[in-house]
Amino acid sequence: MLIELSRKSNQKTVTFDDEYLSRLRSNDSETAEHFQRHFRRVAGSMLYGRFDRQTEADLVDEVLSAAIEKIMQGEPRDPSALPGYVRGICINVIKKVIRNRSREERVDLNIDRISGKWKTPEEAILERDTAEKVRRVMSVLRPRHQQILLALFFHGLRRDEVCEIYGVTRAQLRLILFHARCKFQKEWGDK
Amino acid sequence: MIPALMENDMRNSNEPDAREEAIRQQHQEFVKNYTVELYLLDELTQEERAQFEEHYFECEPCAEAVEAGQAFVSGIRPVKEHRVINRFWLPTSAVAATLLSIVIGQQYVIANSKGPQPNTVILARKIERGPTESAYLAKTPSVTVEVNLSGEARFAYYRMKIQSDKHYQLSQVVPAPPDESEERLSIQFARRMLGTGHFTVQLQGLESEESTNGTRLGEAYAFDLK
Repeated sequence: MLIELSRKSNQKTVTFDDEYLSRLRSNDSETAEHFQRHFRRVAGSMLYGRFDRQTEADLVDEVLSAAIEKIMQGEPRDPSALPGYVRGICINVIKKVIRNRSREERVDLNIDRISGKWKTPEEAILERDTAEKVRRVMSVLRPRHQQILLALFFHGLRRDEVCEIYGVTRAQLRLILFHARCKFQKEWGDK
Repeated sequence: MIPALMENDMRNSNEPDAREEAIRQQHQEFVKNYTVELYLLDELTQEERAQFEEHYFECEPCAEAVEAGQAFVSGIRPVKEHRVINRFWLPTSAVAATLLSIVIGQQYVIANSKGPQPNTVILARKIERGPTESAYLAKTPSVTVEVNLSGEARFAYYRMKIQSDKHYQLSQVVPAPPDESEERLSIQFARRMLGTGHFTVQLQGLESEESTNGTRLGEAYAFDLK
């Protein structure tokens, strides 16, 4: 298994190969930790925005436990296909939830869960920390860029509306977001 | 938008080194094309989206970038609270108090709302160019009124006075656009503050935020809300 230290992100880059899978199957703690961290992140990103916070967390857990179960049973045959395999499980879980939702429209009386406001104290602290970092990054951006990002992601204007109002092109929009995201990622790196 | 991926190369490459190299090249292409931003802006086709998701499932730097981007965009809020009211003239103090409580309540909604808030942007039109062409139908919780400053003298701050045909007036001091090239001055209100009707906007140029006397600018602007 190739593990190298990426200079930029100071993170281990892992190759998904036979050795990775056999370490995972033999409960190697470092590999299991990597598996959880990496696939929790990417599955979370894929599910992002589709469900409320709690459902999203539950589904990520479901994806990871289903993936682990299959891995223990000898799947996938081609170790390099592991990321795609986990993504496939993720897609199946999303499809299943959508199917179930349309079949039975249940009323959940837990208001906090419906509104996605339910969170553990640890999550609340993390969220406050992230909000503070976003605020710091926003405050160093040019006011015009702040307005553009607010219009897009806070006020929910459509991209073409934002381009028209602020006289920017789609490519400029992309660049503004890119620079802001890079600044944020730097701040966020030590999370 | 997305480069032709080296899918075949990747499928055929059983050697970890070759596969790793293919992922690295793919990563560079995605970075070059700002694919993370396209993904966050939802500008990828379904196929491109799937390709990128496949990639970031095995590319840690891209996974990290996507996660950070999602955390960033979902955390975006106004940097500081808008000071909507500097002065608020009304016929009677009782009505003023009632409206003030609505304003403060609505302002709280704008400043503290968790999700994206729909907003309507209204460009006030110069009165000398004739009557406003059509009324804006704003059903969003917030409204941004914009004024085009082209041709006006430049100041550090402006007092925007919005006069309603219902005999009330809102006033707020706003900083000048940071760039000389930017010509639009904007101010955001809770939708309910404005009500409906015909509104005129007058500007005063101020040397500082605290200035009480300003230079009245020649142009007047107007818009209609229904």
